[in-house]
Amino acid sequence: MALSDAAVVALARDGDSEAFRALVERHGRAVFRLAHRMTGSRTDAEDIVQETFIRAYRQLSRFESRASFGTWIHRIAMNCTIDLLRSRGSYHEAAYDDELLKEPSIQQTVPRAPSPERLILSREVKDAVQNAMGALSPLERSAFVLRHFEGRSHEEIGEALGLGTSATKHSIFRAVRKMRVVLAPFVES
Amino acid sequence: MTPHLTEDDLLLHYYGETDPSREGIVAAHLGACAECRASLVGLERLLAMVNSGVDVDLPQTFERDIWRRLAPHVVRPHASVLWSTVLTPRWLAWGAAAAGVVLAVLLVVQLRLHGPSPRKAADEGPHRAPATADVFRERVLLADLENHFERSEMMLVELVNTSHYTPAEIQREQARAEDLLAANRLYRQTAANVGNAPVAHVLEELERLLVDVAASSPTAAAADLEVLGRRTESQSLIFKVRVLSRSTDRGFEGPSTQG
Ligand SMILES: [Zn+2]
Repeated sequence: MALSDAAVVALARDGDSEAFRALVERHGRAVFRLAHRMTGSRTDAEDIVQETFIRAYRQLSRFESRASFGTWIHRIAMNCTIDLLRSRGSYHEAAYDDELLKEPSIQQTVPRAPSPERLILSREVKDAVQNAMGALSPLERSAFVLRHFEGRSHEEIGEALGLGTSATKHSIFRAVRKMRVVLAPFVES
Repeated sequence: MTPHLTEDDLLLHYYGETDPSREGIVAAHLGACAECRASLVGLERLLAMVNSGVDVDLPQTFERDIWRRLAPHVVRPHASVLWSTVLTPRWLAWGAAAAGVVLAVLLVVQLRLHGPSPRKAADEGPHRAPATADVFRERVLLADLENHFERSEMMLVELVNTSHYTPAEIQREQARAEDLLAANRLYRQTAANVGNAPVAHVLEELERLLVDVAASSPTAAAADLEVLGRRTESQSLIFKVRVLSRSTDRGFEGPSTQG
C-alpha cells in the first residue's frame, strides 16, 4: 500500500530525497494545472512548479502533518503565481482592451464558430477557451480561476490578490462576461 | 413578475452565492421566466466548455522532467552538513562577486596594457628612464595575468553553467582551483611588491573566491550559482566579460613592443 502524504512528508523532512520526489510526482501535475490556468503560459507554469516545490522543500519543517499536503502545496503555488504576475507589473492590464465588453463589432473579430462536427475535436474547444481566457487581465483571470476551479471564497481571493470583496466579485463577473463574448459563437452552435 | 435577472445574478446563483435576502426572489423568478432559465443554461454551457478546454495535455515524461529541473535545488548528494549550511550562503555572495571580480581584473589589465599610465608617459618623455627591474617584473606579471585571468574565467563560467557534477568532476574542479590559487598568490605578491595596488586588490578578491572553490562542494555551489545566474543576470555579466576578453585578445601586443 502506498504511504500517505503525511508519512512521505515525514521522510522527506528527514532528508530523504526520494520521498520528496514522490511528493513531486503525486502533486506536480495539479500544481502545473493551477499555474497554467492562472497564467495561460506553459513556460511560466513550469517555472512556477519548480519554484513552488523549492519553496515547499525549504518550508517542509513548517508543514503541519494534520493538514493536507495537497492543500498546502496549492496555497504555495497560488502565492508563487501571484508573485510572478505581480512582478510583471501588468497585473491589471487586459490582454484585450476592456472595450471588448461594450463594442458590438467585437463579434466580427471573434473567430467564426466551427461546424458542430469540428467542435467535437477537443483541440478546437481548447483553442477557443485558451483564446477566451487570454482576453482576461491577469487579475480577472486569477480571480476567476481561484473561484471557479479552486472553489475559494470571495474573501480568500480578495486577500490573496489584495482586493476588497466587492472588487473581487466584479473581477469574476467581468471575467465571465468577457469569456461569454468570445465564446458565444461556440456555445450557441 | 420581478425584473429579469442580470448575468451577475445568474453567476452568483450558479455558485450558490446569492445574498440570502435575495435567494427567494431569484428562485421564484427562475421558476417563472423561461428567458432567464435559458440564460442560466447558456451560462452553464459556457462554464462547462471552459472546464473542458482550459487544460493543456502534458507529456508522460512530465514528472521526470520536473524532477530533473528540481533535483539540483533539493538534493545535495555529496555536500557535507558543514558545506551545505556554512558555505551555501557564502556562495550566493561569492557568486555575485565572481563575475564582478573577473570583470574588474579585465578592466585593470586592459587599462594597464592599453590606457595611458603615468609610468608609461614617463617612459616616453624626453628624459626617458631605463627600464628598472620593477617595470620589467610588472610587465611580465601583466602578460601572465591575462592567461591566469582566462583560466579563472573559464572555471567560473563552467561553474555557472554546470548544474550537476560527478564526484570525479568535483575532485577535478577542486584541483583546478588549487592550481589557480597557487598562481594567484604569486601574482598578488608580485603586484603588491611592484606597487600595483589595483591589480593586487582584485587578485586578493579572486583569491578568496578560489579558496572557497578549492575547499567547498562545486555541486552545491553550481546549483546556487545557477539560480543566481537567472535572478541577478550574472549570466549577462559573464557575457560582457567574454566580449571584453575578446577585445583584450585582439588589442594585446605583449610587453616587448613597448621597450
Ligand atoms: Zn427573466
